[in-house]
Amino acid sequence: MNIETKLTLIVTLATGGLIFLSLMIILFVVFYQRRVYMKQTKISQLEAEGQRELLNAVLTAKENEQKRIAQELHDEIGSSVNAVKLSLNVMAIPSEEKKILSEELLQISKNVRRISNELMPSVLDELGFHQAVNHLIKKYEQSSNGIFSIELNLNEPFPLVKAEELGLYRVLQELMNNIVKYAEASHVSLEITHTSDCIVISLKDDGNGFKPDVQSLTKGDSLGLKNIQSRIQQIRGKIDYELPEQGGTIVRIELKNYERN
Amino acid sequence: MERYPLFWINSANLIIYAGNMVLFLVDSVIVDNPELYSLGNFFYNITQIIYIVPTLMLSLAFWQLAGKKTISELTPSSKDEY
Repeated sequence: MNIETKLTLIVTLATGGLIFLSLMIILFVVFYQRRVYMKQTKISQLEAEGQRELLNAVLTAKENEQKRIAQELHDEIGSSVNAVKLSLNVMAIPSEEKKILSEELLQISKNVRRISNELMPSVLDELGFHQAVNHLIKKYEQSSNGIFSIELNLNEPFPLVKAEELGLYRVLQELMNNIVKYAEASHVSLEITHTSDCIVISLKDDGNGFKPDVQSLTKGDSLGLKNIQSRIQQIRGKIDYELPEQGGTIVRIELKNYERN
Repeated sequence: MERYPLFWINSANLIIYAGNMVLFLVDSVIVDNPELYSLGNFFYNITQIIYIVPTLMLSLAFWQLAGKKTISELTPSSKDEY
């Protein structure tokens, strides 16, 4: 073998070897990074799952406690007030004072019932989500000169579980409260489209317009907004705030049937 | 990872230097020995063939560069998809 052939062979082999080595290094980097990424994704998924479970536990405990307080208020204080009202009738006091006391007691009884109902909306258990929302709208309508309107589009609606019904109800309650308190709106319309695939709730108002930024949802002082966010997270839904050109706010809540479990 | 131009640029550099290292080493041997001049053409051809791969990689880098506006978009960060 002469020197030319030897040199050619050495150079070809060495060059080929080095290129092969470089390609291996590149492939190693790509696959290593991909594995790291997959591990990170898995960890963050687990973290999110843990957080959701924790949130579920907190919200469930809160609801249970509210339910207990509501029941206690309704059963204990409500019946005690009724008992006092009955005994008032047989007491030997002037009828004028009796009337005043009776009115006071009636007011107390009404307040107790209202507070108990706000803590645990019994209408939700008795009539279901759509009727409960109707009821809620009516309540707001009475207290705000009829600026609220509701439209229900139901087409083979998929059944909501209790936690979802309660979550959506509470979110709507909070959003409407915010509208009454801050929006200065002259018209508020709620549209619920509930089909076998998804439930889309759209709450439009023509008020001041409000879109919370990420910071106010995570670090801000607004407990109401954070509650809305966590309840939506709990039921695996989605909430979007839009500012239409003509003014006001559109809040869109979406819950897809196949994403629920 | 393949979406980032700097990955392709670095890979192209690695292939260029790995492929040409031995050729550069024997370059001086050929220059000093006139009887090996005929090998020069062969080595030149090898170099040209080796350059095909890095050139393709650099083309990919330019392709990936399209639509990226900030420097941070050129390299992956820990939060990004590789």
